[in-house]
Formats: sequence, C-alpha cells, structure tokens
Amino acid sequence: MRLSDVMSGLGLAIYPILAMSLFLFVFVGVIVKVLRKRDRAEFDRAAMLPLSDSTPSNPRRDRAS
Amino acid sequence: MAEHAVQVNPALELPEHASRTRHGVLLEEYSYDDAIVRKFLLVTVVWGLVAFLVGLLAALQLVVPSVIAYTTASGARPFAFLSILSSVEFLTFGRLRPLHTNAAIFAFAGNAIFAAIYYSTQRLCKTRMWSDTLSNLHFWGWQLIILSAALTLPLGITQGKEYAELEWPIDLLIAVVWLGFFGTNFFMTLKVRRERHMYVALWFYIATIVTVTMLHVVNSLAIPAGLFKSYSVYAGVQDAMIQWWYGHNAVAFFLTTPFLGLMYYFMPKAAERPVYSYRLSIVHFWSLVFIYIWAGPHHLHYTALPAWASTLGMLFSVMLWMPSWGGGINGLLTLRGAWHKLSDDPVLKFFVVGITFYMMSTFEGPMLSVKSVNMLSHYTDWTIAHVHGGTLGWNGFMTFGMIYWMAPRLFQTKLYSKKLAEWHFWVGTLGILLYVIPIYVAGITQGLMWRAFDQNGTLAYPEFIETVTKLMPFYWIRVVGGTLFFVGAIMLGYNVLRTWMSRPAVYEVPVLRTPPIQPLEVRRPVFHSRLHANTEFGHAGDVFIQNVQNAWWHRVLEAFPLRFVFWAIVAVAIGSLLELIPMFAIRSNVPTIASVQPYTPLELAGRDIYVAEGCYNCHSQMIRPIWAETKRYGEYSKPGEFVYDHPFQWGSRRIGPDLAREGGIRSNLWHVLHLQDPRQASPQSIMPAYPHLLSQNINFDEIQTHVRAQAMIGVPYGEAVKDGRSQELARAQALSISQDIAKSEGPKDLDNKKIVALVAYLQRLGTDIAKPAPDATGAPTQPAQSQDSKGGAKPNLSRKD
Repeated sequence: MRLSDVMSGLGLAIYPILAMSLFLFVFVGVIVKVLRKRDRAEFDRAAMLPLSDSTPSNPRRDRAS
Repeated sequence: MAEHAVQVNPALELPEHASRTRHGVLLEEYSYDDAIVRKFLLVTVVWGLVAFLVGLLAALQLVVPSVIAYTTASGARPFAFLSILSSVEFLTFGRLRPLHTNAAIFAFAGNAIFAAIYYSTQRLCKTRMWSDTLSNLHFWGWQLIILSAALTLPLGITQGKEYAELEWPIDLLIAVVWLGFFGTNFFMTLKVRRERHMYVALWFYIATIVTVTMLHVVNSLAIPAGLFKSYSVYAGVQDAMIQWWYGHNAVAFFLTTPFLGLMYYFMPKAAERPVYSYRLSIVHFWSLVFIYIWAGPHHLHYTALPAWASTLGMLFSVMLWMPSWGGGINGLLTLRGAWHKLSDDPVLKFFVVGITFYMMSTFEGPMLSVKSVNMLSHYTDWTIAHVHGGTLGWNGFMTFGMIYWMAPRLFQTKLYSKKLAEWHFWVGTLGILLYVIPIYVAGITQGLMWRAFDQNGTLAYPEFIETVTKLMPFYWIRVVGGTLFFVGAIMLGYNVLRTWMSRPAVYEVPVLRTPPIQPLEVRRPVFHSRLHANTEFGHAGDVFIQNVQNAWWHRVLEAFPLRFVFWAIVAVAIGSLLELIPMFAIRSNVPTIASVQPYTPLELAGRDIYVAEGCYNCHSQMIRPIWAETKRYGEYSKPGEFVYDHPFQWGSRRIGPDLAREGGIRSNLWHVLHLQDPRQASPQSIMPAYPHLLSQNINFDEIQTHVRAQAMIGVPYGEAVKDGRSQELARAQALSISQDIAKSEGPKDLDNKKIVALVAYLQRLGTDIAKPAPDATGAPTQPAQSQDSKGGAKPNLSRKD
C-alpha cells in the first residue's frame, strides 16, 4: 500500500473543480467590492493607517524639540 | 473612532490601564513591544553577513580549482591554501550551497520579515503583541533552528530537497515555532486589535503564515530512519511536483508576500504619504494569492512530468505578470510628488531600487517559465542570475532600507552615518550588477554551447568540461560582485552597531491610549415596496432591489474582516492543494516500467551518500527529450524510472554533467579515482575532491534500518527487510566491487569503504530500462516494455566523454 494508492482511492476528482469555482467566486467578489464607489472614504482612511500610528516620522527632529 | 465608542457612566470603576476622555469614552492604555523588534533586527544583520559570506565562499569554490591547477602547473603554489575550499569534507560546494541558501532565505530574510511584522503589526493593530512570552519563544526558537541548520548541513545531514534540506527533527521544530509560537501570537494580536480595518500589509502577513505552514508540512512529510535520516514519503515525479510546488511557493510566500507587506507599510512611512492606490493594493493581494500557488510546475518543463501539468504552470506564471507589476508600480508611485526626497534619503533609494528589482524579477520569471525560453535557460546559470536579482535586489535592498529606517527609531537615537548608508547603497547596487550581468552571460553562453551542433550533426562541444571552463571569467566577476555586496553589508553592520552604541541608557516607552473596537451592530433594515398597484412579484422585486442598494449585508461581512480574510486564505490554500493532488498523488499519472527495480541495499547506502554530499547541487538526473541532450547523455528520462527515488534527485543546475544514464559507462576504478580527486580524471574539473570516501567506513548496521524505512513507504524490498539480510547483500556486493577495483590495479581493501557504495549507486543509474523485466518470481524473463513505444526498450547509452 502506497500513499498514491490511498490518494487514488479517495475519489478527489470533483474537488479541483469545486476549488476553482470557489476561487473565481471569491476573486470576483473582491474585485466588485474594491470597485464600489461608496467605499472610497473607507479606503482613503485605510491607506492612512501606516501614517497614523503615533510613531515619530522623523526621530531626529522630534527628539531635538 | 470616537463615534463607535460606547458612552459609559464615568462613575463606574475603570479597568486597569484605562482612562476616559472628558466625554466618557473609554481609552485603553498600552505600549508597543519594541524590544522584540530590536532583537530580530540585530540578528537579521548578523545572519545576513553569515549568509553573504557563505555565498561568497561558494562562489570562490567554483573558481579556486582552476587557480590551483594553473599555479601548480607553473610551479608556484601561493594559492595552495585555497584548496581547503575544495577538499575539506565539511566545506565542499555540495554542503555549503544548501547552507548558503538556507541562511539567506530562512535566517536573513526570515528574521527581516519577523522584524517587519512585529514592528508594523503592533502599530497597524494599535496594540501590543498578544504575548511577550510567545514573541520571545519565537525569537529564540527560530535562532535555535538556524543554529541547528548551520551545524547539520556541513555535516551532510540533509533530506536532499532544495530549500527543504533540514532533517525531520528540525522540521518539527520549525512547525512548532512557526505556527505554534509565531502564528498563534500573530493571530491573537489581530484578534485583540484596536483598529477595525486590517491594513493590506496584515493580509499579506496572514497569507504568509497560513501558506508557509501548509507548504512546509506537506513537503516535509517523511519517514524517519534514525534521528538524522529520513526518506520523503513521495517518490520520483510526485516528489518533484511537491518539491517545486513548495520551492516556488517558498519564493512566493516567504520571499514575496511578507516583503510586499513590508513595502506597503514602510514605503508610505519613508515617503511620508499613503500608498498610491489602496484599491490596487487589494487587487494585488488577491490576484497574487490566487495565481501564485499554481505556478510551481514551471520548474519542471521537459522533464518526466506530464506536459499538461507544466503547461498549466507556465500559463499561471505568465498571468502573474499583471499583479506583480501592478503592485510594483503601486509601490513606486507612492513617491508621487516626493521624488525629490530620493536624492537625500538612502532609505528611499534602497526601496526604489528594491521595488525595481521586484519588477524585473517578476517580468523575468514568467518569461523563464515559457517553455521555449526554459529549454535554453534550464540547468544553466540564468536561473542563478534570476534568483540573485530577486534576493539581492528585492529582498536584500528592501531589508536594508527597512533597517536604516527602523534602527534610529528603535534605538531612539540618530543613525550613526547617513553617508555610510549612501555608500552602502552604491556599493551594493554595483555589487548586484556585477553579480547578475556576468552570470546572465554565463548562463546563456553555456546553454547555447550545450545545444550547439556542427555541420555534421554532432555536438559542437561534446566535452562537458569545455562548457565549464568557458565560464571561469564570468565566475571571477561574480566573486567581485559578491564581495562588493558583502562589503556593503559590513557597512550596514558597522552603521547599525554604532547606532546601537549611541542608544539611551533606558529606552523611552511611550504609553498610548486608544478606545477598544466596539462591536458593529448590523441591523437588517425593513423595506417596503415603493410601488403602487403592482403584482406580488413586482413588490417583492422592489424590496429586493432596496436591500441590494442598501448593502446592509455588506456591513455584515465587514464586521468580520479577520475571519473573512483568514478563511478565504485557508480556502485558497486547501483548494490549491486539492487542485494539485491529482497531479502528484494519483498513481495512474506515473506509468510504471516493469524492469525498474528498487536499489540494492548497498546502492541505497550509496544514494544516501550522494544525497548527504549534496551532489544534486551540481548534477541533474533528468535528461530532457531534446536532441542535444539525448545526443550528449543518452535516452531521455521516463517518469517510471524514478518510482523508487525517495527523494527524487533531478537537480536544478548542471555545474557538472547530467548523471541520469551514468551507470555502466565507465569502470569502477575510474569512479574511484575521479572521486578521490577529479583532476586525476579530468584535469580542468572544478568538482571538489572526496578523499574521505576512501577512508570512511560504511555503517552496515544502518543499512537494515534504511531498507526497512524504504519498505514502509512502499518500496518492494521483499526479503531484504529481514534481520541482517540487507547487510549480507550489501557486504557481498561491496566485496565484488572492491575486488574489481583491486583487479584493475586500483586501491585495495575498499570493501567496507563508503566509496564502494557510492560507485555501486552511480553504476546503477539509468540502467534499469535496458534490462529484461523480471517475472513474478523475481527472475528476469523477457525484455522490458517501456511506456514509450519508440526505442524505449533499447535506450541509446552512447555518450561522449
């Protein structure tokens, strides 16, 4: 008995098709969500997140003051 | 955030580490754990230096034999001491090269992404890491893994699969540290975050953690045969599929996604402006995650892998162009309106060149995956140049930029010298160019020489060594380039060291106050039909339209971003695994050949030596169905020939010739002399010498254990699994080979030396398909039927040498 015998016996043929459909479904959903106009403000706010974490952006200047 | 916060009666008792605004909004107090980031940052620099130094040694090893040969011939031996690089057992190229790749990927790049993740995750989530204990266990556990890799690889303890060489006890430790310590800590931190929106960098980190776990576990499945030895449960074609599914996705999810997360966080930081397009970053993320995982089979064009699988891999690789360039452009355009900063800021210089190399590599990768290009590039230095453009340029420079940005902030002081950082940038860039360009030339030169024919239809360069000596000038330029890159890294090390030395006696730990996330209430609004005098169906339709327009359901999804992203990635990961399983695990995909039999116990021991010495780093065992290759090496390789190869040893680079049909071409004595010192057989050879194989004894006791382990994973060893039987068989075969060697005036009394086992294995390679098939009793009866109807049964073993 080998691993490939076990795998052959499992009847996995349907899963690749399911997986592919799942991918497409999620991907299209994401694209639709991203392109929706009403989320623009939310995206703009999200884009600012790295700049709004109260870390000094210039330690030299900030420490000197 | 304030509008989400719940108004609470200020008279109520406050929890510990919390306060309220004067409007009564609850504020939680916390501070970031920067100590762990400092630790990861420092070891990144240290391991980076080690990885580059080992790489430099490996580059030297390829040129040193020619120097020694030249100086010896001229009588002077000023460079004789360099022979240490090609004759000391623990320092041969086959053992150092895995050490170099593992150190560069898992020690240098690994610690760099941990530093990036620990720094940015806390800030993007507005919380401290969930558990300081887990952070530290992760740190020390990972360093322990690196140390054990640095010890075991030079000792020849390896699984023999590229970038997954580490033996099973270390593999287990990796799984525990990666998922148990790092993964748990990361996901729990996301869970307790104080910022509802998960910034796109975090998505890249999630994909990294989930996917690397899966890749590592699936590819490392092996049956232990002792503490320092194991055999992959997969064999031949299937092992190759799994290995390159792993190998390619290690590039995708260890060297790409975490560095993209790093780019999306640190590039805006350094440029002091948000990313060019946040939407593009989301599309970038999802398309990368969806497509990358399929691309692995492009590493196996024209091999014994089914053609449809490698074509699929090629198609998905070409599709990767779009998201990669979209992401690269997104990173670069973050500098819109701030390009002038580039002239003044070494951090931005490193980032811009790093991203440029990302775009060049992701352009070149899909191009190399196109079959007709791959036919030329595969097994040549072109691959090496491609990889180093990606690692030195993208991973290296993004890491350097991040370190120069973080060091003064983490050590709460000024960077010791901006000028030195600028020098590092220029020296490093020059180093990359001097590495990459000559190696491109070397790769294309050698590829063209391999396939060149003269007017009579015979190989223009029948001697493999001709195609190697031609490359020496390029290899020398590479040494210069590598040295420059290493010198740049020393500048970085010195700069970081001096910055660290000027740190304050006690680090300031700012206390931050942020309200916790309040649960989003999603109420489903009740809609009434706006229509008059319509059918029931019309009214229902109008209600439906209002529901869709209102998009309350969309808020439901948004309330669970963590769960959504996490499960979507898990689904992608599992889905892709399922997609690939039929390719690599179903037996009917590998036609068997009746005459292909398991290795004898002694040959198996020889194969173990072949794996331990890392021969696969320079020699392939895979003849592609290309005229130039069958002419040079003999009949092309068939999938059925590798069914007992745990692990497969197809290799990925031919620094030396292919060995798939090596068996029976030369005498046993030739092999002994050649392994003892390759220059005895081929004066210009750059192969290391293996004199220790002539003095070290075969461990016959181990052979029985190894045969049994192979039998457990399905290799039909029959009665050889019985106690002591394998040893008897091995000793008998070893005796007959050593007698043959002695008879041809070679060294005597080799019958218990390792060299005999290795010679036995080499003499077996690729010979089975020419043998008659055994009948049920195991005795040979009639000629084998190969699955290839034309000429498969009578392979052409003639070879130019």
